[in-house]
Amino acid sequence: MALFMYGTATNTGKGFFTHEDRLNFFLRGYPGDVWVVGNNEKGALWLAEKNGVEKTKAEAQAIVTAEVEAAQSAWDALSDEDKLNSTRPSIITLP
Amino acid sequence: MSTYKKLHGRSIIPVAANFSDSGAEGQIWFNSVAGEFKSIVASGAWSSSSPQTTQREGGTATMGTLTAGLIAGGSHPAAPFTTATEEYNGSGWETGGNLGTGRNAYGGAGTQTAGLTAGGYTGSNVTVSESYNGTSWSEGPDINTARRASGTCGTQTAGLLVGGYTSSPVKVVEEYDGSSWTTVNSAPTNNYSAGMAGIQTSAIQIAGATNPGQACFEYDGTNWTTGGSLNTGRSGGGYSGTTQDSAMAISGETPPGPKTVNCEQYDGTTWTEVSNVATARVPSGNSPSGTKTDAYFSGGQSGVLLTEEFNTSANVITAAAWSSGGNLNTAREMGGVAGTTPAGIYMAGKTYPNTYRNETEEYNGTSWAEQNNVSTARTAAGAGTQTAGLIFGGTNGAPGSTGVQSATEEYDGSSWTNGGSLSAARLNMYGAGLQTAAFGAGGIISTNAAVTTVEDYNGSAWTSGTAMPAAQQGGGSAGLPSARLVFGGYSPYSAVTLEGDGEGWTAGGNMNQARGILAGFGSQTDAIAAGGSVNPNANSALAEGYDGTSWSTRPSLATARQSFAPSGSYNTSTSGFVAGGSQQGNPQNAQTEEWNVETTAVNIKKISTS
Repeated sequence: MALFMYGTATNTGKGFFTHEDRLNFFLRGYPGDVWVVGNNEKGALWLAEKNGVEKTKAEAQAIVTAEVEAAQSAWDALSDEDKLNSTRPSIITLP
Repeated sequence: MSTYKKLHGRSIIPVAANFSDSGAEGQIWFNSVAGEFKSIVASGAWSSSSPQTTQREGGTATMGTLTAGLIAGGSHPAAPFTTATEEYNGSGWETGGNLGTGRNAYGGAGTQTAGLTAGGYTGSNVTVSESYNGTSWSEGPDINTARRASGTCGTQTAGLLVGGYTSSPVKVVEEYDGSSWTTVNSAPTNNYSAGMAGIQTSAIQIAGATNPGQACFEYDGTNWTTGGSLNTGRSGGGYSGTTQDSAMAISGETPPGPKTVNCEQYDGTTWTEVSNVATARVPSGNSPSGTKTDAYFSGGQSGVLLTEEFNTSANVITAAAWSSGGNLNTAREMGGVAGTTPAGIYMAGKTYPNTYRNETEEYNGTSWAEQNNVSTARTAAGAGTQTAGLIFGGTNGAPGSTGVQSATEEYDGSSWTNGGSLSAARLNMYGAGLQTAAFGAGGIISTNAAVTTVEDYNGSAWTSGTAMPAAQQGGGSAGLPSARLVFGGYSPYSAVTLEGDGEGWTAGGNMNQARGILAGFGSQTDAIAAGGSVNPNANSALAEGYDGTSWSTRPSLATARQSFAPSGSYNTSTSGFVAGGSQQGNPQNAQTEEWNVETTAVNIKKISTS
């Protein structure tokens, strides 16, 4: 059994993930509304209840990579002065 | 006819309100209001705890107890034979002394202040043994048979090393007396990745990779006998227990492959299933990490630094964790943040890449609502409360520009007025406190140079304070001018903590993770650090807690990000929050996460006839 499941879901704010949720399963958010969720019954139920769309790891990674690449392109287009205030986003590898 | 009092030595008590102290465990009472018989019952359950800071997939032994644990070595693709050691205090992990020989798949035994490792793998099997004194490891005598994936238990001066893998599984057993290893009677079967629990004269070998039939064997210090069989065979999981008839098997791998969340307790005769861990994994420690009733289970898979605790108690323990709060209306970073979860405030800031904001938003514990704007849009340090807020310094231009600010603005819950100006305009300061008692420390000035400057605010004017020992910017902060705390920073990336009393600075314990542009809140003796940037290309989700002496890990944020705010805020660590910030690929984040501390409540059960 895989350790994680992957999906997209929009963080709607308060109650999106509760104190109890965080105790019941692993949860980590990434760009593109991608969430890595502990692969147990409660994690799967959470993703379903949040109207999440389950993805394969490759699909989730592609979404995150596309978001970061878009941010990289935006950064590359900044003026030299604006670049001083930030660093070029780096590709994220999902666990 | 017998009575309850005759059988149990105490009477059933009629009361109007339930007992609320765990000391009343086992007492039965009749709640006359509810019309119910009730009692306080002890039970065992798993709960999540704080993550380790060092990535290690497995091959690492866990030692010690639930409140004083120890983990060292292990493997990860980026560090196949790490020397890193961490100590667990029952809430979180902090750095310990490094192993002399980095390795994985070794045996571990003993306690946090008297640990023992033996054998292992560094590309080949080794005979190394090392002892830990709570601070550092020292090399001891070699074991007789180089091997890995042995099961280990006992103490630093009475250890037991069982089975393992040379070029094939073996059943060799060695005992340690504190000065030398001696080969003794072999275990019944050639086996590796089998768990061990107990002591040298009363131990149990639990299943294993070549023993998938659930068989267990008990050792009395001389001879091996067959014990009860597990319901679910496994190898490489977690184990705990103090004797051959008091042990627990935790998760692991059920040959030939699937991992299991199953846990079982042993009473000397029978294995009984208890509650499951949340996440199945294979740390492959094969050594005990606590007792049958109170244990921890940590690490075990790529990308997973999880720790789970098993507590048997008359109290129900709800572990600490971050939960989602309302989203900011204006996603942004580097603003001033202050207040508490039900009464927070986010002041000014900027949106990517350089649009400086003047919005003020108040948080009621559920949602953010816009209020009157600050006068000067900018990044800023923040302090105070929702009804008495304060922002100071910051910038509304690129580093090195003329946009660096000295202005202070005060908020009364409705509108903004100008306060006294900083004598030295700067941004990325450490800053915390109240509107009438705040501090601003370090930061960078218009030439882009980090400074040691410290200034204190009394509600109307800033006065110079004792300079920091080293120039730094972009760290976290907490407390008041009279008991201030600053930590981390990124010029260069730092784990350094400083405590100040308004007269000078002293060194505090270093954070476990060096980082800058992180969130901080709380007091000098009870602070939380969360998130931040660990290098220009990576953000952190890690949280740590400070107790006035040292930092240890806390449950992580759900979203790794940085630039929450260039300052900490004067919150209590029991009701803090983080908001906004940026993450790789998502430079404006609107998310709020609320910090929920660990709570306990007595486990009251209703007694019925069904």
